Amino acid sequence: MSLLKISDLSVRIGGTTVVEEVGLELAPGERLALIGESGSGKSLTALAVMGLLPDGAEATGSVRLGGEQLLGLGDRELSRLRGERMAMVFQEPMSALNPLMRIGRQLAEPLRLHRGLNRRQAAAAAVELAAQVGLPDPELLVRSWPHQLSGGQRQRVGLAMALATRPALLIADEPTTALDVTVQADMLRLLDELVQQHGTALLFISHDLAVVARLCPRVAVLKDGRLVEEGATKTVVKTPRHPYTQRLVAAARATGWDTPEVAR
Amino acid sequence: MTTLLKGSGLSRSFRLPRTSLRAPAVHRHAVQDVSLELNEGNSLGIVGESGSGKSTLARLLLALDRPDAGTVHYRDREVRPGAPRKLTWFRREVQVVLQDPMGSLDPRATVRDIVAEPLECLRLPGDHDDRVDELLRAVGLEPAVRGRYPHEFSGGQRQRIAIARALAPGPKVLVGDEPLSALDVSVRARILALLDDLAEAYGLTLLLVSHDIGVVRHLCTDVLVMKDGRAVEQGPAAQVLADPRHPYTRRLLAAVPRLPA
Repeated sequence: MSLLKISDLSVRIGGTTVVEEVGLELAPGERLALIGESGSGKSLTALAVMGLLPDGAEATGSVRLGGEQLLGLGDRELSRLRGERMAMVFQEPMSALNPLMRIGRQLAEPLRLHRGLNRRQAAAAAVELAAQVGLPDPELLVRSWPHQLSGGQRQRVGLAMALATRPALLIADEPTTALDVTVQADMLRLLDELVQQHGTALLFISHDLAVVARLCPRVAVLKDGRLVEEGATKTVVKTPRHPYTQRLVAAARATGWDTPEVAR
Repeated sequence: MTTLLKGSGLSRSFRLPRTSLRAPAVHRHAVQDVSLELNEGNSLGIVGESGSGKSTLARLLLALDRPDAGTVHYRDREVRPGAPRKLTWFRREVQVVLQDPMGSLDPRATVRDIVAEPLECLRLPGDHDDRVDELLRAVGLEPAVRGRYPHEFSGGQRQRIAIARALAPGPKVLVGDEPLSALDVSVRARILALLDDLAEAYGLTLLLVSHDIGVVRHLCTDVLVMKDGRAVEQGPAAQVLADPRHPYTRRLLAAVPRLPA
C-alpha cells in the first residue's frame, strides 16, 4: 500500500493552471526525486500536499496520505497531520526559522505541540535533537539565535525540526540549494542517514539531477506543471525518453562535473 | 605569452560590526596575500565557497576596491582605484558580467541605452546604434529588442544583455562574477556555450569567479582555489582538477555532486 498517493492533482492560481493532472505514488520508506526548472510547478505540488498553498491557489484532484484524503481538510486537521505524519524542509533556512526564538525552543516546538511535552522535557529533547543532526556543542547551541548560526547549521535545525515527531513522509524542497558544495555534501549524507534510520519516505524536490542522483532511486520530471517522465534514476539519466528530459540531462552534463573531456 | 592582468600580494580586510562595546572590533581578512597572472588567450577560474574571498579578489582586480596591500597591473601599467575618468583606459580593456542580471541592469533604461552606456561613458567613437545592433546579434538576441526594458526578458536573455553591454567597448578581458549561478540548468548550458563562443570569436581572455566547479572545468584553462582569503592552490585546470594537491581542493572536488555515468 502506498503511503502517499497523488492523482490528477491540478493547481490553479488566478486563471492559470500551474500544476496539471500530476500523479505520483510513494511507498512507506521510499524515496522519490521531483525534478524541474523554475516555474515547473514542483514546489507548488509539494505545497499542495502539505496544504500550504498560498492564498488564491486552488488544488483539485486527490492527495491521499495513508489512505486519508488531504485536499479539502480544514486547517486544524492539516496542522495535526503536518506535525505527526508529514513534515517539510525548505530551501532557505533563515526564513524558515523564527528569528525571535532561540534554537532550542524552535527545535522542540513540534514535540510540545504534537507530543504534549512540558517545558523541561522539551528542553532536554531539543538538546538531543541538536546532537542527532550533528550540531556542535548542542547544550550551548540550543541557547543561540538563528542569526548566530551558519547556513548549514540552520538547515540542520530545519531538518531536526521536521524529523522531531518521526513523520512518515518528509518533503525536502531544494534543501541544499542555498548551501556551499562541501556543506551540501555533508547535509545530503545526514539526510540519507536519518531518513534511512527512521524509515521515513522522502520526496526530494530539486532542479539539480546530480544532487538527487545519489539519494533517490526513482525520479519524476516536471515541466510546465506536467509530469513528462518518471522512472528509475539510473535509467532516466542514462536513456531519457522525453525530449525535455533529454535536454535536461544534456544540459546537466554540459555544465556539470562528470564529462570525461575538459573543454578546450 | 603576454600577461594582461596581474595581481601581486593582494590583501584586503574588512572591519566587522562590533558585537560588544568592550571587545575591540574584529577584522576579517577577506583576501590575504594573493598573487595571480591572467595571460592573454587563457581563462582563469577562481573557485571557492561563500566567504572565501573570491568576489573581493575580483573587485580588487577590477579596481572597484582598494587593496590594503599589493598591486594590480594591466599590461605592466599600474591600476589604481580612483576617479572614473582616470580609469577610462582600463575600463575599455576589462569589463565585467555579474551574477544577477536583474540587479545589474537599470530597470528604467531600454536595452539600447543599457548596451550603449559603456560606449558613451568611455567616450568611444563610432555609430553607437550600429554597434548595439551588432552586439545584440552576437549574443543571440534580435536587434529589434533594443527598445524594450529588462523586465520584459527572461533571466537568460537578461544575462545576454549584460554580456552585450560588457562586450560593447571591445574589451580584451571579460570578468564574470558567478555569471551563470542565477540561471536554470538548461539556460546555464546555453549561456556557457555562448561565453565559450564569444571568447573564441573576440579573442577574449576570461576571468571567471564561480562556486560551480563544473562550469569552471568547462570554460577555464587555469584554476585558482581560494579558502579563507588565501589561494591554496593554482595551476592548469586539467592538472588541479585531475590531481589536486591541497587537502581542501580534494575535499571540494569530492563534494561536487555527479550524475551517474
